[in-house]
Amino acid sequence: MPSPEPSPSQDLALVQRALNGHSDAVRPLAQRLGCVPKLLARINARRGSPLTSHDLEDLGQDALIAIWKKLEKFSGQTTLEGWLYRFCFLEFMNRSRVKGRMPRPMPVELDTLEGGEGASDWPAQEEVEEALRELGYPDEDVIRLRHFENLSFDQAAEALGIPSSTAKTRYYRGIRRLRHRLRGLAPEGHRDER
Amino acid sequence: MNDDQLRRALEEGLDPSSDEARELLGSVEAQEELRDCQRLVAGLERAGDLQRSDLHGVTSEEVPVWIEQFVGQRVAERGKQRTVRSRRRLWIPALMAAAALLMLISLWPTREPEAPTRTILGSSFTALEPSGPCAEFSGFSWEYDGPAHGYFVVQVFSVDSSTDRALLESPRLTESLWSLSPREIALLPERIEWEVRAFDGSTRLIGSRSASAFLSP
Repeated sequence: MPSPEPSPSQDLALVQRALNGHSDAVRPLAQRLGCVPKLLARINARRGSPLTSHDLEDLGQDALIAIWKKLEKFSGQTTLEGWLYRFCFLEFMNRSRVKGRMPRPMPVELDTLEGGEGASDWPAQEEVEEALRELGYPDEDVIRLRHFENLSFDQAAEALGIPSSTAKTRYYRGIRRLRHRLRGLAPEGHRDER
Repeated sequence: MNDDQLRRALEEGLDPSSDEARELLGSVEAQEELRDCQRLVAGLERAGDLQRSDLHGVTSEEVPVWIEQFVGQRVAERGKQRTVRSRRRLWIPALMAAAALLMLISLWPTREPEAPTRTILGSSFTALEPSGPCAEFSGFSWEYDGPAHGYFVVQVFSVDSSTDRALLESPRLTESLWSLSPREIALLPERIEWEVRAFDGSTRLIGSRSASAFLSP
């Protein structure tokens, strides 16, 4: 049976201890940040390995430096690994572009909808990540908690400190806004259209 | 289509081309928007699955040494900053003690960020870089016009460290340049003192020079 994973609030406490210079936070935080090279390697492998092992080694160090600079922004709404994943994914995509080696699109078999009408290649993972980042607070938070942290609306609302009804409102509004961004449509207002 | 219509359509799992969807949404455009949103939600589910798959089992007990060193150094720097901040709150009584201490401290040699470079054994090192404020630490260079040498060695120290142990030491260099790898750069604090030494072919020290540098935007 796998050991229980730390909760986002425990992750936040760990990060804050490290940022406050407590030496007892070094080893546990280093253990968590140790996932960065592995994450990059997995993302790279999934995308057809556009980066060499040397590239990945450099990228791992650069990613860690970037992560440390932004660590104060970790708010404990998601797990630390979930937060790190976003950094790793974006750093990987940026480095692939710089190297002129665009990653292979996601394999078709992973895009097949279960019981659906067939393969769908929209939207790609990188499109989703970029559009979510542009979407920003507060809608991005709910969508990430729902789909990336696999939380229910009630759980997401509790994590964000908002009523469940507000979480749902932000979610559905965010889905529509996300759809507009991904389709390159003109932005619409946030009010319901009636 | 408005947010509430989308919520109802998604919660009920309506087929966009069904009569129920047509009745709820009222237009072909809205039905197409629903179809898009359903694909988008499926795309988000896929992205979430991929993330969870990538994260599965990614944390382990073993930590690369360089990561632990990196974190240890950064946390230690934070600790020093915290100590400085907490000490500032005691400035009134500390000021009095500091005034007395300064008189004593001034009698000892200190590592100041802008201290002049020092030379020993009559060496001819000039143009040491980096020196003083600099944008980044990417490597070390110097000009040497002294006795014939066999090789150079560079050592880098933290100005704020309580020990004299070098943070980094170069291999034997035949050129007046030492470029750092990203991993080595990550180990450096914001203020450093570094020393370059020249050795002859018999590994005898024939000269050295040091300089201080600090990161400044």
